Amino acid sequence: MAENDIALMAHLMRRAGFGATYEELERRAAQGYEATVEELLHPEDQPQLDLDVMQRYMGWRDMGYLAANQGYWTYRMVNSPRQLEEKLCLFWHGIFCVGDSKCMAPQNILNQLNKFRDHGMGRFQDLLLDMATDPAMLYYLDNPLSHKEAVNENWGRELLELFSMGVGMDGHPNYTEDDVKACAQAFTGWTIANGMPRYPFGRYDNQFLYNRLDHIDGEKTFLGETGDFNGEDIINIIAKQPATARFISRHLYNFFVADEPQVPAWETTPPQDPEAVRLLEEEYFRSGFQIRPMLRLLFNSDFFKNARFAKVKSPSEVVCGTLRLVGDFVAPRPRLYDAGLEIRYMGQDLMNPPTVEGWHTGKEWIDSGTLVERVNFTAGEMGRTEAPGIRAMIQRLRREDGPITAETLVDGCLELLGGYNLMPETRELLEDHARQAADMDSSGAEFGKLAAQLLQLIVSTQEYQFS
Amino acid sequence: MTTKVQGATFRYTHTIGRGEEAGTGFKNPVSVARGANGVMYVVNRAYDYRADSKRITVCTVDEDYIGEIGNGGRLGADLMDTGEDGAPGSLVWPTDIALDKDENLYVTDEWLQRVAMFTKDGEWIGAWGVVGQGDGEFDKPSGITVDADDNILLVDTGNHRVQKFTKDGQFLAKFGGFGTGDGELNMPWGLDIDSNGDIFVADWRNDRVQKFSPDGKFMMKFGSSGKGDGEFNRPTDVAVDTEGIIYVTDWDNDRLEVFDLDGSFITHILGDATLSKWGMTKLEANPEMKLEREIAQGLERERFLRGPLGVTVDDDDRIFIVDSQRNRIQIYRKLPPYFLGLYDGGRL
Repeated sequence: MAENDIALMAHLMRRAGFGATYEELERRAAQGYEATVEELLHPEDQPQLDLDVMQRYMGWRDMGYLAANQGYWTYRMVNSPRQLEEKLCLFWHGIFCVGDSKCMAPQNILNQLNKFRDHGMGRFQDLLLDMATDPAMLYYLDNPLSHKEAVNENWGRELLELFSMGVGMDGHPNYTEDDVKACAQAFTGWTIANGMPRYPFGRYDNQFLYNRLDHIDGEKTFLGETGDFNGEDIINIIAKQPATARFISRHLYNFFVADEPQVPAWETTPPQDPEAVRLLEEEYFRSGFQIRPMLRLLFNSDFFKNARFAKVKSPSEVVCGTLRLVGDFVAPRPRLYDAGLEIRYMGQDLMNPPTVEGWHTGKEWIDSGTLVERVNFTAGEMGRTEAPGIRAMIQRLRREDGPITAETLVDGCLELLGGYNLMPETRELLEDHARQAADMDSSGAEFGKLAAQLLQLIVSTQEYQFS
Repeated sequence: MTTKVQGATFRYTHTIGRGEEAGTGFKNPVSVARGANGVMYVVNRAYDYRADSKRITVCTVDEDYIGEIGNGGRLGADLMDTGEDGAPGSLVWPTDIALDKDENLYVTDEWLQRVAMFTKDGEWIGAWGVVGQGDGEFDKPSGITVDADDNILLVDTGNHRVQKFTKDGQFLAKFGGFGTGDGELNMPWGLDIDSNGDIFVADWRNDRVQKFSPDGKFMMKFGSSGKGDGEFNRPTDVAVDTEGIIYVTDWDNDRLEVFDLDGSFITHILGDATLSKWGMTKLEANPEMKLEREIAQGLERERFLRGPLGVTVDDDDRIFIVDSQRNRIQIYRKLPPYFLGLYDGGRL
């Protein structure tokens, strides 16, 4: 099998999932690239994760604690056979932000994530309606405080600014303050029922409630259209805007292809690859505002295939990608939550983003503190020579026909980790280290230690921070 | 709420418990054992991020608090310390509890892979267990019960079988094995012994209950996957009363199902919980919680079972349902179907 096929598959699985072992890459490469894309695009045809077993041992059905929920989601990201479903869940979570620090109801946020899993590849307006009726979202953006006598514009404004259109594009604004007001008025009465008390028997999730008595009826003008609009009408108008097509296309490009500037800069900074974004916009309209066809176009495009290592890994990608290679984060156990905490320490407090704008991505993931966290975690994991994934990599690196050259050993390590390339200076340092193995019997125990050291060194490099 | 069934009537009596990390309440309770004089031992699996909450609460059927057993010395310790060192008294994944004739406690722990033993006063006796697949070895011990000879029957979940031991852990017998055929099991969980010595096993991942003779011969099975009457979505525990009526906690369908001696479906119970004594104490001490309840919409949801994990019956035909996700135990009484008279203008 061509080495390039494997490297391309590694690229696809890093982006459309959380990476894959070499064995999985070989299997998928044999299956073919486009067939793999189709498989990823149809999670409903893939087996579910054994959630009953996780629930039995971890009691995850009604968790009321952020760190536990983070551990639960980390486990799903690492182990779900439906890798793109989980990756897309992370994508939408970074856009439709709700935060535990305000909501204080972790179960509601888990319910919101399930909506991303259920409808994350479907029609965009359906997803918007999911969000507009989602108790965590409504609470996070104060819509229960929006009344017909005193309209709170938080949800109405963010729906336009951060969830669908963006403030502007190509140097012009996408909507006016009057549009924001009309939008907020149309969503008056979209609220949540008074919740079940946490005491004495524990938490209950909240329920959406439409209170027509608190809704502003009557004519509204929104984005040039006039009518007695309710929230659903607003969503349907939003979905057909060119600005929405641009906004979603650019988000998909930024998350799956290459790092773009942060969202607030999009009004004045054009996309780095306008043609790619235009193709995605066209597919948005052609497909009737559906996400799945946009993803199909994206993953099969040359602009995607040629964008290897054009993105800085998010903390979720660093931790989950590494754990998938190490291969022993596969069964319930105490301290499973620690993996979720690692993601937090690297700057991505899942289900608790810093603001409604979400995390700043790309290079902003990295500072001196988070880089140390990344290196410590990944190098620590790669050094666990007893773990099945590390054992398997060492086994593959062994040569039956005698000593192994330093070049071959470094090449092998880079390929097994997912086809990474190193700067010449870095590579030279690694080869120097590997030369200790020049006369080494690659079947010996010492060889395993050395191979693990090389893996540790590679995941500590700048290059490993890129996806 | 009174449920009429053929030959039996179930009357909800009361609810015990409230959600607490310590003291007068439970946290993710998974099992209950009944001692003498109305004493109850409730196993709290809790969650790994609050390891100090893993404990056995000792209280009475009338909800008088007696004390706590287990995780000795770890109260107030690092909350993320899951006690994996297996120190004496430590509980990590406690799962089920049984009492012997002297009312000593036998608690299975699926993480520490052992049967932990305490006196009824909470003193540590010791633990036994060897991980493996051989006779007398086990992997993830879950359901446990004591038979008429004071021997222990233990569900060996990871090896998909049931094993019999003396109280101090000497292997006596085994039956089961992985599969879907008659007498085969898939990650079984709870079990019980009826008055004939026959053994009922909640065959968790096969969505059924199986009955075995005292020497482990397959006798019958009932249930299949689904939400309908007599179907299961991961049955967790089974209990048999003095007349042979069978009770099964139907975990992911959030209900208790009741079956006749031959395994035919009788009825289901969805829950009737009312405020417990400890619950009322909490609300009386916290007026804002009381107000929250008064304005809550959908408060009727509070009565329903949520992820029931354990069920046990006592000789007085009381049925104790461990309502895990709601941190409480709902108690019912089976009323005999004796004719008590016709309803006549208020006179029964």
